[in-house]
Amino acid sequence: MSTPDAKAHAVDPVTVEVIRNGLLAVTEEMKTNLTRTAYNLIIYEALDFTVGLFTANGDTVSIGLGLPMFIRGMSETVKAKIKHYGLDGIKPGDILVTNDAYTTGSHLNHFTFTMPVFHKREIIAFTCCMAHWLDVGGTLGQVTTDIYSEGIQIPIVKYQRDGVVNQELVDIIAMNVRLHEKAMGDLRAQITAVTTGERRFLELVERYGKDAVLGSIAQIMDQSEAVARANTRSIPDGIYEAESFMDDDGFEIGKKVPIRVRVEKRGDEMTIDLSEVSRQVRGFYNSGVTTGIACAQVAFKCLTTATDYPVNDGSFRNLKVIMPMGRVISAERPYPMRVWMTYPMTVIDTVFKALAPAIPDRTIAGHHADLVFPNIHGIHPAEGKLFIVGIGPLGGGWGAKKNEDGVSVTVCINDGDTHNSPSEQLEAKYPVLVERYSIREDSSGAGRTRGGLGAEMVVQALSPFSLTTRIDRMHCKPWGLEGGGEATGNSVGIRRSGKWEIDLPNAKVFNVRLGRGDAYMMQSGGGGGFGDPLERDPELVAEDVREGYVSPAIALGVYGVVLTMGGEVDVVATQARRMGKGPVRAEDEAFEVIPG
Amino acid sequence: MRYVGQEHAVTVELPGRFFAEKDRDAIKRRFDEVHAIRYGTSAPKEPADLVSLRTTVLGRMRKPPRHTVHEGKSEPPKEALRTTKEVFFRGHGFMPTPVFKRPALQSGNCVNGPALIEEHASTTVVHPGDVMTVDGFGNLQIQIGSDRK
Repeated sequence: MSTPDAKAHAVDPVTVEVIRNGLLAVTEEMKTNLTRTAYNLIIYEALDFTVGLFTANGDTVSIGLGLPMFIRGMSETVKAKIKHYGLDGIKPGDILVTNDAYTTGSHLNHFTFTMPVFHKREIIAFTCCMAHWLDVGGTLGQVTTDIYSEGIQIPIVKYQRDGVVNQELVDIIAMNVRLHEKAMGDLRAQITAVTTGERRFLELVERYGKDAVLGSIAQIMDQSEAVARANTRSIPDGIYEAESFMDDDGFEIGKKVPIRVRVEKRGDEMTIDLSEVSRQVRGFYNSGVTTGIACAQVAFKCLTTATDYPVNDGSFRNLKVIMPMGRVISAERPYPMRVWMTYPMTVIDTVFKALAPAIPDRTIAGHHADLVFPNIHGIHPAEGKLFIVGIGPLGGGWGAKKNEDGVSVTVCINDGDTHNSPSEQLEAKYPVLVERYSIREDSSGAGRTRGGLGAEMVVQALSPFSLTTRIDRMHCKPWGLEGGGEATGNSVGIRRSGKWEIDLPNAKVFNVRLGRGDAYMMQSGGGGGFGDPLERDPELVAEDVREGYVSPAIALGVYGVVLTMGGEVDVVATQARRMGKGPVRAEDEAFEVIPG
Repeated sequence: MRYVGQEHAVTVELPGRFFAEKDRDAIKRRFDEVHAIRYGTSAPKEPADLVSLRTTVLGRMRKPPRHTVHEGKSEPPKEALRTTKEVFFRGHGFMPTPVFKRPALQSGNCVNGPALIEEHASTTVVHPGDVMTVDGFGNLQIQIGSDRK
């Protein structure tokens, strides 16, 4: 904390708990007011945003996710704004803005507004709101090759000075984004969020006093640090490494992009070294250094204090991150960033993979690790105007844990709390028909505990539109742990004039034109399995078959479970089969499929 | 009401005289005020939508009649049994299961599970081992006897 009085920490524990929950309530209400006043579906349905409350230094006090991957970017954006103006240069009634990709660490769609909270002419906190705008200009639907092709860039400037909006700035932004009515509505919703945070935080200060609130914040961070240190100590000391790959960078199809991580654990400190993650790439899969650091922090939080305390900067004091510039997760201007969110998820999973041998009961097998979020645009037949919509995120399978099956059809780790796009909303607002949205049988990795299942969505065009997908991890599939099987990857199919094209070279298509009655299909991957599938409780396998998660063929061939005509486990036959055979892969077996 | 383009609406209380005087500006001004109270901001220059209109009316209504069903025996009447079909129950496998029409059941009827009770918008499952009785108001009271919790 910046203020000396906060260092006193002399607040009683009951008050600290009341204030802890008060701070959460502040960010929760910021979230509520943002979604209630927003204009685009990505914000009010999919919840693609993050709001937060920060100290006068810019350290995270409480954050309403949103996107877990933004835990670092938002705080660093507040810090960059403080550095730009100096605390003296920020006045009551100011609201600062930027969407600079190399500051936020993400794409230009993330307009980020920050408001100082003044108490007796002194800044005691900042509120901040990032939200995803539907469009910020730039190339529509194509792969981009530098930041300039991705839309308007707003450096750190004042949106509002002494209570007066900088209308000239707003006019410049409005002229440079498509669907500016929606963008300006979302802008107002973000202002609502930061002013809500300011008002509610000041109410806390008025009620409990500045010293009690700031002292509590210091204590809350110290508590988070203490738990993080204790839990880090319980991980065996050592150096752990792992490697995984991305399919391609959107240009060089088939050229895999390596993700290598090195974790060093000593006592109650951990170092995550991301130096060996691939260099920045030509296609738009780069992200900024704040996202690179966030990869390490998200993984660290999951491994040490996943459910102990909500995120604040105390949680990360015993984590050191080595993140040189120029990597795919620490890209430099002008490398393109539009699909910033994809690679970091695999970086996080790779940290889990590295630590799996040390703490098998606290890690998780690989997940589908992609938003599986197609973008479409076209002319709306009823309105005669351009529409742009992202349909998703689809949700997919998550990896199995040692003692628990992976969750199915759940949004990937980058997007934490975000939701899918409800079919009813899509059909009411856009010229699409959702033909199918279902769970994919046999998409999970087999194991003693199995991975979660992926989803499949088929969307028909009711009038022509252009489809763009930027999906990865089709070939580099979610991995299993300790003998668990890998899951299916993410994939895309296109139906034109009644004919399906499904063996595309990767899961990326750019501005494919679909006519009336044509359709696309998105398939999300499953999660990897954990442990030998032949050790899975046969009753659970029978249940999976009944639920349509696992086919009878895989139940027999991979899990070695023989089912009766009625779907019950044939205990004797199963035992015999499992004794006679070691682990086998589905493809190696000629199946005798039992009807029923 | 909401601003054109927004998804969520706020409820705005409008006095009858706004309508009597056909004062559209007053309606819009009231919405701007309510938006500012609810969220802390408003956009008076933006146009607004009326999403739905609700009216509050005060008056005295007749008491609704009490719903009762006819007194019957322990055995449900024949016409209540629609069919019998195979239903899968975990731990039991497929079992022949009677399907009853709920509107035809009578007070005092007693059914041992497994059974299905069908009605217009719902189906009640009586598991094997459970016992269901119909009370005087037509409620289905199920005594759980099965091992399914």
